[in-house]
Amino acid sequence: MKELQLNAGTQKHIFQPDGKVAVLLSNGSRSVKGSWRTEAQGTEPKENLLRYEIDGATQTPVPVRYGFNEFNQLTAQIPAAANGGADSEKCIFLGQILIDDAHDLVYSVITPDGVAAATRITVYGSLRFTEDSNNLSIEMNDGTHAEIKGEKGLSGTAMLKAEKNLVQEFKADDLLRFIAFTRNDLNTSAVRVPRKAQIEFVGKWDVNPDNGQLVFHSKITGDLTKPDVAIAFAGSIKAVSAGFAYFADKDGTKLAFNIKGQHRWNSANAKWELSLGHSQRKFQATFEGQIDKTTKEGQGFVLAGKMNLEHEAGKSTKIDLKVEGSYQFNKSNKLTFVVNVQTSDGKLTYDLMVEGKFAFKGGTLTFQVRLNEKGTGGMKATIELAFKGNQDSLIKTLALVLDITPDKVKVNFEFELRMKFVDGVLVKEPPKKLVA
Amino acid sequence: MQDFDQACVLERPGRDMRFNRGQTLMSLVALLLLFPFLVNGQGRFTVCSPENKFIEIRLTAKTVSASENSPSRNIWVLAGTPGPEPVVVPGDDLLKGRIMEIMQQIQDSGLEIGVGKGGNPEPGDPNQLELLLADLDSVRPGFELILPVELTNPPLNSDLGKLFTVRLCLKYESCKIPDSLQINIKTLASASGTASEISKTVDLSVAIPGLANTPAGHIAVTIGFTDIDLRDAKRDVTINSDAAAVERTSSELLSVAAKAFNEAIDKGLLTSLGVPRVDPCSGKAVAENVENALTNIYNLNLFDPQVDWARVKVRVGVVDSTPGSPWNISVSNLQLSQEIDIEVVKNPREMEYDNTSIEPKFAVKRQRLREKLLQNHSNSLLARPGRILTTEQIKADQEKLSTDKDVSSVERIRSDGQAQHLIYTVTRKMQADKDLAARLGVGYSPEEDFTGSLSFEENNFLGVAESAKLAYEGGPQVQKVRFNFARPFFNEDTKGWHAKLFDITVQYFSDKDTRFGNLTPDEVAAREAGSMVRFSVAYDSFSLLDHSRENCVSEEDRKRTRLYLVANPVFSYRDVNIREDQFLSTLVSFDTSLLPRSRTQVTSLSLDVNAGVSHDFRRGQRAGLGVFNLSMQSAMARSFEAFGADYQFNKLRALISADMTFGVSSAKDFFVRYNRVMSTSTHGTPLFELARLGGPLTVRGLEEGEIIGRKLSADQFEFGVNALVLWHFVSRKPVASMLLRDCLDDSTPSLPIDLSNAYLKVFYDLGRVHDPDSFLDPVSKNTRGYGLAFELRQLGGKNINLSIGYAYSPDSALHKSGTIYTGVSYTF
Repeated sequence: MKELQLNAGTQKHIFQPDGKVAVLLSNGSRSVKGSWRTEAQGTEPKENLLRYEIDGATQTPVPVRYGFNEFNQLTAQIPAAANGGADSEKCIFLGQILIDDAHDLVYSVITPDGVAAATRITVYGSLRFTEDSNNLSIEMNDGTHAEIKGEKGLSGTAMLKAEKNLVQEFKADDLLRFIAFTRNDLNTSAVRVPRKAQIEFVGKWDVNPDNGQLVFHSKITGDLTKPDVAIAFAGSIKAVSAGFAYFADKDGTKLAFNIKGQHRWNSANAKWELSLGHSQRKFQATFEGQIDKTTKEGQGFVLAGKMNLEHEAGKSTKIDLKVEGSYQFNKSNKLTFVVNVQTSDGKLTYDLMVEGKFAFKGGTLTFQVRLNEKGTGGMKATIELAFKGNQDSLIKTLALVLDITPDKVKVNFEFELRMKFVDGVLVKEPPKKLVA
Repeated sequence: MQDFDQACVLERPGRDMRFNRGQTLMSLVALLLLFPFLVNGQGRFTVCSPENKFIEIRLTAKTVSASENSPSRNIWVLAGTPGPEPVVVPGDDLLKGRIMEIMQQIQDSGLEIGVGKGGNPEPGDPNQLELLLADLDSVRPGFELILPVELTNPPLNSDLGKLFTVRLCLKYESCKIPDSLQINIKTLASASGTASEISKTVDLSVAIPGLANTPAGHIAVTIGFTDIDLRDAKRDVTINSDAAAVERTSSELLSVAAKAFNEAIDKGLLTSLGVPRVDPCSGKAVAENVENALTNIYNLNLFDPQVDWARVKVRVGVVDSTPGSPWNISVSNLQLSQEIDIEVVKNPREMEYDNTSIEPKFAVKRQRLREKLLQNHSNSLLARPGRILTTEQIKADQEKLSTDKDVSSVERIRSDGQAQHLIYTVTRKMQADKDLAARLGVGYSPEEDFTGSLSFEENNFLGVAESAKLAYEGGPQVQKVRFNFARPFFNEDTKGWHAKLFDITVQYFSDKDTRFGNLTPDEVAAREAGSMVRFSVAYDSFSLLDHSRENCVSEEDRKRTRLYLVANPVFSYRDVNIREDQFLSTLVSFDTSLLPRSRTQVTSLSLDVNAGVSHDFRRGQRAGLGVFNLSMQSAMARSFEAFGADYQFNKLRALISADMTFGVSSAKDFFVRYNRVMSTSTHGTPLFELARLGGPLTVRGLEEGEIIGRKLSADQFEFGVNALVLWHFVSRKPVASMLLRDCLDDSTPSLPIDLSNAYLKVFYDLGRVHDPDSFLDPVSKNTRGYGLAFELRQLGGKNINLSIGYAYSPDSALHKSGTIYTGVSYTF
């Protein structure tokens, strides 16, 4: 295994995997004379530097360029400018990838026997998940980047999990986990030994107002609006029944993971309200799309279209929405559109709380959902309610709608009834006959 | 442990059987074919450790063909996915469930899964099982899949074609179940740090006294609130000191703690004794269930977004990441209510009177009801000022309000902005409309001179939607009295036999003066006193739904043939007062012996029947035949000398009508219609009861009554062209889409009338007199009329047709140059 060597004049400084610095003299003699570290301490800037001392004397920090090889092993190289005019040879460290308590990317070095060494290499940079592959990329200050290849799941993209954080010392409810392995060639095995990376972030999901991309803000303690880590996702996001779905690609075909959330119409301000993640990041949004039945006879519905998330300073992000559920009349005879999905953490049930107007025409009872402030959805916002051809069901449904008892139902062949909110209060307008 | 290979071929019922039938069948076939080569893996693979936790899988070996970058090689691949039985993790249902989830995903994906190359996968290798299972360390710390060393080496050529049963051992640490629970309950003011916090920690037994002297009773409950909350507590008028406010606030927060404890038991986070029963690795779903339950109880904004406060935040988790760290249930952002109110909002009926003088009156009524509801219910509502409200209380209150006899419906709750108010909204019950009217008036006309009028009218006072009217109009010239009572019958549906109307009319008329005009039914009616009782029954083969789909031509399964009948048995008594001199101006000459006495009476029993059949030939939005109607209206009367009546005669009048639409661009481009009217009566029929020719129902262009007779008939022929078709001929613009509009087409016509139902028609009428004693020129027995008219069909969506046109009859003595006429026809 190649060691990381620095040309220091007539000497070579060797940064050993055990954290020691050996000095190689021109006569070939080698002696351990100091130690090295990469973690910034105190007020030291968070830069990728090798800080070391020889014989107790602090040496000028040496810049280092990191990378990850095909086995997700950390590679290090001293660039030419700091190495006497030529890049050093790449050094490959055996080890395991971790995220430390400060949410920095750390590489824990292990010995060729597979035993954890005391050495930890901290790699500073901005984290983001790459488009299509879903790999974790770290962009370093010098413009270079290193990429940790995620383990591909059955869907063909790297495995990412959006879960709930249970540890309350972190003041956030979302947990992001990335599945990757480092495969080390150890003395103890004829084949490479996979070691799982420990990459977990606690924080809160958000959408970047500038580029509309999903982002995960992570902070260990304190105010989450000033995160320590902001991890960007280069793929695309869609609103779905279970909340949100992140796709590794821009076209939204490679599903990577789901994030818990829900969507509902807020009649108080005539906007949609979307809640993202367990931390419930709230967005106000406007919608353009349509509602349809999922089956001819059933009570299933699908609401699909574009949701325009509103950010501060007039910025907005347009995302696809596709929500499926079923409509039903509740105990108060109000028509509700309920989403009921099974997630890995159990059932998620919520009411879209939509308002709209009923219309009975051509033997069909329809409900025109108010999809936007002006209710301009027209036929696209209209869903046919299932009772067609069933006389008893018709009378019952109309009775519910009209707030009357079934034996007193007297309906015209055509009418409409509006359910709307005035000053925040639900009111139902009287039935009006439709234009023939 | 059952032998695995045997287990695979045995069929087991239930969802947990992960080997589906297809795979089982294939396994059976493979077992039979490969039996000579089948080995169970013993000897080929070393036994892994620990032996008590493992997944037993079936493997086979296959060869991956050479590619550009790699030579041909042998790899191990999974032969089917194991069911639940080969997954042996004693007492760890969560881990087993997660493993089965992954197995199900593998099965659903249909992908080939390799085993053993997790350490060194090469291009072209399938997904490796050990890597797909590796994430299980998120639920079981240190999870490791121990593969037999032989699996990490490529299969030998001698392994190809064989099935092996191999155990993969599972090594992991148990996640420590916390041995304690703590509960933190804070108000919004306390959690946000906007004011100095008053915090205290007490035993749970303070909140739930029944837990005193039990281990659960010692669970630490920390509550936090501020002076802001104390002020809110004082919104309850019974709280009038700081100490009482502290007591109230503490009590409310402790009740939340008690609820949290109970929900934790209910959802399985704790045992019934209050001891944690799940570890944080396994308990995410349980913790989330507790969170959801408490959020649903206390977060009023989630319950209804119109409540802009009580956005309560619930977190259930462990305090920190150290093993055994206690569970913590945190409920924060709680707020005490400041005010509970009830608002009576407009009901649909009231909204009809918006912007009218009635609106403020309704507002007063709503306000009165609000005060009444507050008076009656404010002490019994569960939601009170100065308390933490729950959605359970709100639902119970809504239920209670809905039972109030004055409340029609309970609507949504709301707040007044962010003020901590809770406003229940209800609508009020309105009595059915009952109208009582009295009218007094004075009138003058040259014919009737000065008259005074007085009428009383009522609607629905009996509660059966009846109407009654008594009207008097009188002066030196005329005396008119009329009473009418009508009781309609409302029905849920139109189909089958049903009653429609019961109607009584009694009237008296007296005029001292002479009237001028032809003898028409209206003229006669205006000169008579009498009574009439009518009861109307109907039959219809179309239901309400059938009617509503009549014009949904795209729905091929709609009902097409309709039969209907309306029958009106009528009993009438008439006291006719037509003096001889009133006929002076009439156009026909009478045999004076036929003239009635100036005052005469008729008693009759009649049956009016309207019946018909229609068939809809329309097929989708295509041209061709449209709707065919055949109808018959008949009136059969028998008069007898009862109640002092002077006549005994029989009379019959019938109208048969056939009508059809058709076209070349739609099914309604044109229509043709034929009507035949026949009237006959026996000898002794008084003059004012005889049939008349003339008018829109017989011969257009002829004034009704120009020809009077005992036996008359008339034929009417009509042909109409749709206005849109005519427009097409003029403008060459396409109109088919407008003619083919379906019932669900919501496009609003730009014109006030629907041109697709407007027709220009030509007609020809022919009247005949069949008896010798009719009042007409004896030479001519026939009379004709013809003309042009504009007909609007299906007015208002009903079967009402209105015609306005010009008609000319060469036989008319009154209208030598023709006349404008209007006609209305109606089918039931």
